[in-house]
Amino acid sequence: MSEKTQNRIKMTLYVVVLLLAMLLEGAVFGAMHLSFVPCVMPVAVVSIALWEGMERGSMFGLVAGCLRAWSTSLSMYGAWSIVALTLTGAAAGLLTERYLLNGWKTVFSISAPAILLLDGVYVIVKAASGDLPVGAFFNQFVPACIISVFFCVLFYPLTRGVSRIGGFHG
Amino acid sequence: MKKYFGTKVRVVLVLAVLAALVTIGSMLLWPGQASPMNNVVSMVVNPVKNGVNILVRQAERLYNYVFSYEMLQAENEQLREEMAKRNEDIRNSQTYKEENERLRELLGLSEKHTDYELEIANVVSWGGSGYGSTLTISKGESAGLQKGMCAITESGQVVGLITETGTNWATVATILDTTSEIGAYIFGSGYTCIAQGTFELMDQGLLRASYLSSSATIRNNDQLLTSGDGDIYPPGLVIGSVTDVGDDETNVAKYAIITPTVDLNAVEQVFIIKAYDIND
Repeated sequence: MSEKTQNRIKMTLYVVVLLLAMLLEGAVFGAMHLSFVPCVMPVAVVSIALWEGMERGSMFGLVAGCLRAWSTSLSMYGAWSIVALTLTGAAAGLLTERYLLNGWKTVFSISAPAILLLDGVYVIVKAASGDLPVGAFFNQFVPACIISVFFCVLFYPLTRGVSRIGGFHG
Repeated sequence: MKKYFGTKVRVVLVLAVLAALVTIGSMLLWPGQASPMNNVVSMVVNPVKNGVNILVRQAERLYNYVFSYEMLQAENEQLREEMAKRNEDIRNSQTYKEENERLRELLGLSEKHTDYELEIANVVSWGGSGYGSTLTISKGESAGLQKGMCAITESGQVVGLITETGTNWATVATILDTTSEIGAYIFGSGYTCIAQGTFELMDQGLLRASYLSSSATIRNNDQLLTSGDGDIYPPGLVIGSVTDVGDDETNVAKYAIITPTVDLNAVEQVFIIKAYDIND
């Protein structure tokens, strides 16, 4: 199988990983009727960016943001998702290329601020406009963040497996 | 930024900003309607979400069967006893029958509301955010649905309001959602109020009836019906029943805590009222 074909398969599988993250958020957690919904898309984007680097990380961040924004009725939050996830992918790839070693500590330590960036801004804006009580920060946002970070255990090995197709790129 | 991000990354970031602006623009251009991008992605994703939803429900049922068998057995026994007692009450009491006929006359959809144009839709998925209460249904603009149409169950219990429509899907904000406000009244006493979803009560599956008169006499289990004010919800639909009453923060009005009649976590099918007339 040529390197180009392997690369295409790898990119397709990364998109499947993003779709998996989207289905977890939109279908599985919703059907479970939890009081908070974990935000796992940033975790998936960070996991991909750690293996693929800054350029591809930002591209997959853009794809993830568009999928998230256009598959749900998130309106302004959806628009923010596009920008935040693209930045997340770019920043995660940059940090791994230049400053940090790729590993479990890195994926956990980058995923946490990524989730804060994506969901935290939304909660702050909603709380500032009076649509959400301050209690939502502690009752929903914090538990959702903590649970979301643990999904690194799913996405990091998954993306590691995918990254091995055609050799490591980033 | 130039020092950290290469040209390609900066191009991608610019594309992201443009995509975000397009998303906002489409939201402003077509309020209440899904953008073409939304439609395309949702048409592909919603069937998969529906399939995953079915699998999750099956898994939940299996879990309940395996781990909750004894609890279910005890609950079944209790329900059998209650059923037997209620059957005896119905057989022996004429007043229950008269009250039943009176309630049917006042609440019966088939007698009072004869011209509901209904569209049946399945629930595809529940909202993907913990900060709201929404569900996605399997019908959209192609079935004649529009933003602002209300969703009910087969028994005339209010589920919510359509807030966005796509080609073959729509988003329904349930009565528990923080954006939900319904003109309502207490059945029997006639006191009017606004039934609102609040964030604090949403997790508990409750909503709040605000702006009740301070002199109102409200009892637990009083039913809350839609008043038809605002021409959004047809009048006479069942919202829920009173479980608690209190004075609001201003002390010039009362509020009531309402338990919705419909179990929003278990609803699998809704009826959208596309048009209606009232026969007074």
